[in-house]
Amino acid sequence: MSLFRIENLTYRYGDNTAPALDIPHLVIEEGGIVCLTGANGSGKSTLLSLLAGLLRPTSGRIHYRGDDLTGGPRNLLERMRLDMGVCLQSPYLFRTTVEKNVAFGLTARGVQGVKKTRRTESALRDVGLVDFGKRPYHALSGGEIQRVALARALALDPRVLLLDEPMANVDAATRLLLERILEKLIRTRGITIIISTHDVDQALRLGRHIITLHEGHVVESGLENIFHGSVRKARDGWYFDTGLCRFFVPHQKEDARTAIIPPETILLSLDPMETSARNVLRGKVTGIRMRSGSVEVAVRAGEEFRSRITETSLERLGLRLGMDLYLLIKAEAVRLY
Amino acid sequence: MEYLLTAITDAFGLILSLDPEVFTITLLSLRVAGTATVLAAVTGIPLAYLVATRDFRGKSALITVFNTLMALPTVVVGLFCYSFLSRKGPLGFLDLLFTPSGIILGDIILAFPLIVGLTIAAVNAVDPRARITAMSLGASPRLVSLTILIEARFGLMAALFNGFGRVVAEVGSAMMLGGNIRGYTRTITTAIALETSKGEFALGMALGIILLTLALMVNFTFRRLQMTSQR
Amino acid sequence: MARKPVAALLTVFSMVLTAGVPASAAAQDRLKLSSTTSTDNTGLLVYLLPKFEEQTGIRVDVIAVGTGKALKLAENGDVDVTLVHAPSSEKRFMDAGFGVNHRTIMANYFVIVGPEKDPAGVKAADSAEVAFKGIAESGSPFVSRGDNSGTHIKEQSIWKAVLGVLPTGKSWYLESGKGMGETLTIADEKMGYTLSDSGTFMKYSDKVEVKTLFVKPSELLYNPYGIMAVNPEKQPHVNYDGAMKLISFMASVEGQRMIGEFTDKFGNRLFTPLADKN
Repeated sequence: MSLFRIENLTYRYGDNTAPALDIPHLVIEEGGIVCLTGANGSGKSTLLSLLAGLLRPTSGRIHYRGDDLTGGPRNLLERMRLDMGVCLQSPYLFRTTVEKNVAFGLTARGVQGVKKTRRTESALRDVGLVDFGKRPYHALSGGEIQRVALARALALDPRVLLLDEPMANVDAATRLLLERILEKLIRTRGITIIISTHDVDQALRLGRHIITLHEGHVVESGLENIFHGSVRKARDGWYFDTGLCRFFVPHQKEDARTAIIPPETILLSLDPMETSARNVLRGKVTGIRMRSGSVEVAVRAGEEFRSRITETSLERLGLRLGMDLYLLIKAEAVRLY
Repeated sequence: MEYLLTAITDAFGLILSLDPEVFTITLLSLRVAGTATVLAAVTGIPLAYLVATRDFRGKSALITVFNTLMALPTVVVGLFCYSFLSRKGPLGFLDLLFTPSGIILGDIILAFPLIVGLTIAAVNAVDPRARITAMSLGASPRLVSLTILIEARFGLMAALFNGFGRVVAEVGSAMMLGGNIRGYTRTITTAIALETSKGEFALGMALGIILLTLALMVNFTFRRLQMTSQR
Repeated sequence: MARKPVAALLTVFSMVLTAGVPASAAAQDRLKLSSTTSTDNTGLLVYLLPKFEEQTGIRVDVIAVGTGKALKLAENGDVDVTLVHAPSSEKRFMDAGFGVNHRTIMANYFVIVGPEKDPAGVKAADSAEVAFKGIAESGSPFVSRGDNSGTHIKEQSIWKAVLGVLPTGKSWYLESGKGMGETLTIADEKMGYTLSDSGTFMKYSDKVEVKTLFVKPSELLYNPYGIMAVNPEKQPHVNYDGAMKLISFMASVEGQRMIGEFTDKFGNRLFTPLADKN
């Protein structure tokens, strides 16, 4: 059974705006770290809030472990929230001590006495804030606030941990610490952590599953080939110009500002072959990253493109850093937004 | 000058000797103002919470009305209540006129808009993330509301103390609805008005000093509570 | 969070609530008497009523206001019995059927008080009218109660007799809108004249520098006090029985003796009993 299954989901802020989120179908399996990536305003926070049950979809369905949250009774949503630990972007601490903040969710769940104290202390230990219990909310640094908020979610021993940009406003040391905490949680508790981040490298580092959002849409791959520019018309067809490079695109949206190319659709070749692909771009290999079951190759051809190939192909082509090669991209594979 | 000193000396004499009349009057004032404040708070705070947290037509008009009523002259409230509580009025059968309950009713009407207005402001001043955070941590709707009110506690305390301060110090409504009956509805303020009119400045001054002391105590308590809850 | 301050607050309030509750206040037989400031401020009622309460077990709540308001409260049925001093208003009240069993129980006199220097020559006047005329002609300040009280009504009737109209609006004519005591204080501050009932003035004589200038008992300055019950046919809820008991007590031999023996702290007798003269 999947953890979350989303069907035909849309969410609008207000009445007549374009949907902030429009996801026809998305499945998130249980276990490990799931990263939501995308630029600011791409819908990451909205999706997290919907998954946390803090927002109700404008239309469509969200299933949590088989139960339809959207159609179900209200208390189903409240029960589901009890499974979750949520940590919002720029977390809010209640106007009291660290200890009472961390214990809040336990109180809400009727956990009392020694049990409450023990779980509060253990959560603070998990985030490395053992002696912080009696501190008032206003005597904490930004990174400490982030960690208290994380402890507040962890104290609930959640099945799912939802973290909205937990690393956005913290220094490098705290970021490293938080990443370690998350990885340890996965190892020791077997929970699912869904985390939003605009840091693609971090997503690649942590994520078992990467979901990339762009203007409210799920871009199927977890990798980014997102380019900003405009659509132009030439004698031989329509192309997309980023300023650094240009490639042919299908004649769909003349006012598109963004082009996305799924990495699987970018083919690599050592020769400029005569193919059906309309775009043949010459470039240099700038990165090769091994991932389970596939290899991600970064190629600079004006812009940096990422292609996903098999290990066999990597060996067959004998790819090395700095090598010149050609990118073959079908115009039809480019998505315009 | 000498006469002023005499009045003040006599005043302290009355206070220090625990004059039973002064004692009764003070207790009645506290009881009436305290009851009125509690009743106004018990009804006003939930109402203010609803007004502050819901969106509905006429919301800002309603808030304006409450803000205006905050400054309602006490005699107007007294007159208004009198016309209801008088035997000629619709509530005459309740027999509340010239009773402590009558004064309490007037005081509730005086304290209510103040408490509602200040509570609305206090709830609005709470960071909007507090609600989301409480919800995300699994708080029931009741706990969410309670959490927001606790977050707004400075403002709520200010509302309570201001409400109490207004009713304990008002004379217009207490005089009109209580009738200043000796040993029954005579409050500190109506007693001061009476003693002044009788030229008994010492007793009036003693009661004035008590009122001032009470006000100081209330404000010190308020400051203390604010400081404690800051932790 | 913040349990302690909240708990402290509740404790304070609950202490306040439970403190000093007059336990049997409602259960007791109570009687509401609206009266004038002059009877209350002189201390007469505080002196008389405990005796009545002891005899009958009825607790009397005194609401001391001006005569006009005292009668209005009785008319509205907000009190059970009323004791005032404005015969003309009392007559209107009785004629309209608002009251029953009117008894005139005591009297004193109105006196004209003013500064010792007496710029209006009130001392030398041989009647109240002449004295008032002197005040008007000299333009000396005159402080009127201006509150529709018995004293105010009396003062207005004298002005009407002297000037034909009320001196309202004249620069020397000040309306205090306050009780007798405060009006005397104002007259003292302004070095002006005022009309007072003799009882209140005697009670106040040590607190003000104005002196009694005109004390010639006359029909005009006669100040009788009347007590009457609210008509139970108009206001069925009133404590008519209690009201009748209070009236009987005031008019009784003992009540009248006590009124006659009532003195201020200087030993002045403030009221003359006269129930037997009715």
